Amino acid sequence: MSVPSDPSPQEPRHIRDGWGEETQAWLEDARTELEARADRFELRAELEEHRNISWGEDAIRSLRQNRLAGVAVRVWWGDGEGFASTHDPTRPAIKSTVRSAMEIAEQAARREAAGFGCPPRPATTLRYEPEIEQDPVAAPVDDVLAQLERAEASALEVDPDLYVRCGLGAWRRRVAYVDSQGASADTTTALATLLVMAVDRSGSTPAETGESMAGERGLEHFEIGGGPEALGAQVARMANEAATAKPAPVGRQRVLCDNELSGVLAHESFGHLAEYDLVASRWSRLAGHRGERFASPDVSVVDAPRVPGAPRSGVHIPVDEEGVEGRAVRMLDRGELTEWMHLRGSAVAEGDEPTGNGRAMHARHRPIVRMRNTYFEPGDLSKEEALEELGDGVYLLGARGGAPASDGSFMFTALRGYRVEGGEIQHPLRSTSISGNIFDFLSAVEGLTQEFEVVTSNFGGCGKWGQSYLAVGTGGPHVLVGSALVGGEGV
Amino acid sequence: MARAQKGVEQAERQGADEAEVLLWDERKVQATKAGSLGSLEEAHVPGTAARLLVEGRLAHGVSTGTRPEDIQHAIQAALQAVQRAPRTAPFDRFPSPLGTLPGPTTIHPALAEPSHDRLVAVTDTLAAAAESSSDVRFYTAEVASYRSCFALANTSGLSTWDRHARESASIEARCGPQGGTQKSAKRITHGIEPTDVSADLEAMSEAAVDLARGATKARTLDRPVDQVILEPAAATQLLHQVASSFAGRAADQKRSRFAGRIGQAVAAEELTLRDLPRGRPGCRHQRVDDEGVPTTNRSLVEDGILQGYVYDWTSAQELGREPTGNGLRGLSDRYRSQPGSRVANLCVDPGTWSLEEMVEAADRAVLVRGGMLGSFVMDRVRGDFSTVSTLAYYVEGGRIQEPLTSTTVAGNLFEGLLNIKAVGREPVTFPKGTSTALWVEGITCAT
Repeated sequence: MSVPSDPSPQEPRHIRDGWGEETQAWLEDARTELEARADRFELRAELEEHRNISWGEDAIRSLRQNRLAGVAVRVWWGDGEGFASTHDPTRPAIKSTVRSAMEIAEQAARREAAGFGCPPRPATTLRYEPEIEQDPVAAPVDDVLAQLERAEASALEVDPDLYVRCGLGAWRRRVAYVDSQGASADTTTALATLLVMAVDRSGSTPAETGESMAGERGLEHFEIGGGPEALGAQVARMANEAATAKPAPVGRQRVLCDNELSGVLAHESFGHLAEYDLVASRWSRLAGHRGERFASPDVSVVDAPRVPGAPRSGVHIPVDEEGVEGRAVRMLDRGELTEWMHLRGSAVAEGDEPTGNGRAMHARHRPIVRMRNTYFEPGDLSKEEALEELGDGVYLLGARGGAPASDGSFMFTALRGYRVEGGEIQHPLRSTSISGNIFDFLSAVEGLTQEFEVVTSNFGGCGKWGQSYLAVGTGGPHVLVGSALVGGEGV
Repeated sequence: MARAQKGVEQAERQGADEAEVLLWDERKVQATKAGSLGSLEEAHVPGTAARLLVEGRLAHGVSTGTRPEDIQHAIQAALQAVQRAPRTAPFDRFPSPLGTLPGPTTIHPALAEPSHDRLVAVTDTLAAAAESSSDVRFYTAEVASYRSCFALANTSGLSTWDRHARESASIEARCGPQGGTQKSAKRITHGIEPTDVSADLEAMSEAAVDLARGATKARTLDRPVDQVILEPAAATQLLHQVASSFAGRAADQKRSRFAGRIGQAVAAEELTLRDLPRGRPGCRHQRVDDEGVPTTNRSLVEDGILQGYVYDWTSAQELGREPTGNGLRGLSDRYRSQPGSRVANLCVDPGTWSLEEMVEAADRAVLVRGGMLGSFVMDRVRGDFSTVSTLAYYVEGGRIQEPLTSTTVAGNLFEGLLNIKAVGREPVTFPKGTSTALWVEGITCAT
C-alpha cells in the first residue's frame, strides 16, 4: 500500500507522515497472504487525529490531543464473511488479525450465516483531501483559544453570572483502502465543532443550554456569520430564557419543528428504516414496501454525502469505508418510497447503483449501512406562514438524541420550545420529547418551509450496532406536523 | 507494569515534574444472527494515556497502541498540551500507593479467552427459539464478550494493574400480522460468568416472543397517568441519569441538584443506592480506580438520605477532600478520556415488593416493561426528563389491562426519587450496576 506524497503542511504530522515504511511492508505482507488464502478481501488502514479543548473561567479546563491508528481486514471465503481488526499496527498483531478474519470467514461458511457478499466491482482509484486553511487539529492552540475566549466573553457580556464553557472538538481521519479486485481509495475527511454551553443558576433550579457551529471546516469558517461572539451571545440569551421556561404540555399537539429537529425526524423516523441491512433482516417495517406511498407529494427525504453551508454545515463523506464514491439517495421521493441506502454488496443484490453508505466509524468496526446527511427537502412556506398555520400548538427547536424502534415507533428530543397560540409565540418551554410512529407521522406533515440548513457536531452523533457516536448531518426546513406526541410535565 | 513504569521514567527525562502512565488493552468478540444474516467479529483496542505535571500545569495525552513509540507519542502529546495548560493544577503529585491492595479482579477463564464456537452457539440457541415461532416477523440475537486490563504507574511510586471481563446476550423479536400492528420486545442479560448469560437462553427468547406477541393489540390512554411501575431495565436507565449528580465538583459548583444536601432526604426512604466496585453484584468491579486510588464500597443514598459525594483524585485535592476511589474514565475506549468523578457500579438495595405486588396495589398506573427508547431527554442539572416506552401496559384496579401504543414517560427525576412508592426485591445485573423494579408517583405517562 503506498502513501501519497506531500500532503498539506498543516496536516497533523501523524497523518502527513502516513504509515512508516515498516508498517507499509507489514501491510503488503498481509495483502499477499490474503491474496493467497481468501476468495476476496478488503484491507483498510487508518490514521486519525483528534483534538478537544475546553475553556471556561479564563482558563483551559482540558486539552486533549489523541491519535488513533488501526488496521481492518474483511475476508470472504466461500459464502462466509469474516472481519477482524486491531489498533495495534505491529507485525504480530496484523498477522493475527488476518488469521482471525480468515478463521471467522471459514466458520461463517460452515454456519451458513451469510452477509451481502463481495460482488465484482470496477478497479476504481479515489482520493480526497479537504480544503481547509487553518486545520483545527493542527493549528496553534493559541489560535483556537482566542476564538473560545471571544465566545466566553461575549456570553458573559450578556449575563456575567452565567456558568459558561466553550469547547472545540475536531478530528482529521485518513483511510487507505485496497481490495482484491484492484479498487483503492485514499481519503482524508475532517470535522470541527465550536460549542458554547451555559448554565443559568439564578433560579431555584439551574437551567443548562448550548449551541454550536460545525462542519468540514477550518478556524477561518468559524468567523462567518458573526463569529464566536455571535454564538456566545446567542447561548447566553438562550440560557436566560431557559431559566424561565415552563414544562412542555403532555399529549398530542400540533407541532412546528425547526431545522435541527426536522433533521432528526428525517434521520430517526425514516432514515434508519431505509438502511438496507435493517431492511434485509426484516427489522425495518419498510421491508417489502418499496414503491408504495407513505406521505403526501410534498414530502421527500434525501440522504447525501455532502450538504455545504456556512457557518454551519453537514458532514462530508465523499467515499465510504468500502471504497465506494458517495451519491445522493432519494429514499422518499414526493411521498413514495423509492430507494434504499446500501452496502456495496446489498446494492448489487438489489440491482441498485452503490450509494456510498457503507461507513465504519473506526478501524475496529466493519462497514454497516449508515446515514451521512439526511433531510426533508424544503417546501414553500416562510417561517412566519408556518407559525400562522400552526395556530395553537408548540414550536420545538434543537435536537438531542433519539431512537427508532423496529415497529416504526420513534422518540427524539427537542432542546427547547415555545407555546404558540393563534400563531403567536407565548412563553418558552423546557426540553421535551416528541415521539410517534413513522407511518402516522409522515401522513401528518402539513407543510415545509423554504429556508434550509443541515448541521452536524463532533459532540454526539448516531449510534448503531455498537458504532457510537458516528458524526452525521441532519437538518432541512421547518416542518409543520398536524399531530405528534409531546412529553413534558403538565397538560 | 514494567512498560508503564518505563513510560513514567521517559516522561521525567523529557521534562515532566510528575507523571502518570496508563496502558490499556481491550478485546471484544461479538456474534450476531438476524434471520439469514449473521456475523462474527473481533476487535482489539490497546491504548496509552499520559498525564503530566510541569510547573503546576496538568495535561493529558493519549495514543492508540502500547508499544514504546506509542507511549512516546502520548507523552509528547501531553508535553505539547502542558505548555498551554493553566498553572492551576490542584495537586503537586499523583496518588501514592495507599495501603495493601487485594489481588487483581478475578475473571472467569471462559471470558478471558472467549471461544468463537461458544458465542456462536449462544446466538444460535437464542435465534432458534425465535425462529420456531410462526408469528415472529423479525429477530436479532446477539452476544458480546468484553475483556480488558490496564497497568498504571506514576512518579509517586504507584505501580498496579487490574483486569475486567463481562458478557451480554440479547434477543429482540417482533411479532404481529403482516401489514398490521407489530410490536418488538427485547430481553437482555449481563454478567461476569458464562452462566450469568447463558443460563436459560430458550426461556429468554420465549419471553421476548411472548412479550412482543402480547403487545400487538395496543390501545391509547384516555388521559395521562401519573404513576409508573418500571421493570429493572427501565429503572436502571433512570437511575443512571442521576449518577453524575453525586460528583463532588458538580455539587461544589452548584451544578448538581444534590449540592448542599448531605444528610437530607433526596429520595424516598425505601431507596438505598450504593456504589459497589468490589465484589458482586453488578459488573463493574475494580480494586483501584483509574488513578490508582483503592476503590471502596460505599452508600450514596441510604434510606433516602444523601450520604455524600464521590471524588476523583484531582477534584479531591482541589476541594480539600479525601479521594473516594471514584476517579474513573469513560466506559468505552477508557484510555481516551480523563479520570473524572464517576460512580462505578451503581446498585439498588433490594426492597420488599415483587413486581406482581406492585401491580396488584396500583389503582391506575402504567407498567413499563423492558427498557425505554434511545437516549434520554435529560436536563441533568434540573432533572427534567422525557423518554418513550414501546412496551407499556395500562394497569387498573390492580390488574394489567391492555398494552399501550408508544407511551411518553416524562417528569422530573429528582422529584421522582422522592416519590418512589416501592422498591422491588429481585435485583437484575447491568453493565454498570444492578437495579430492581421501581414504582414511582408523579411521573406522567401519555399516549
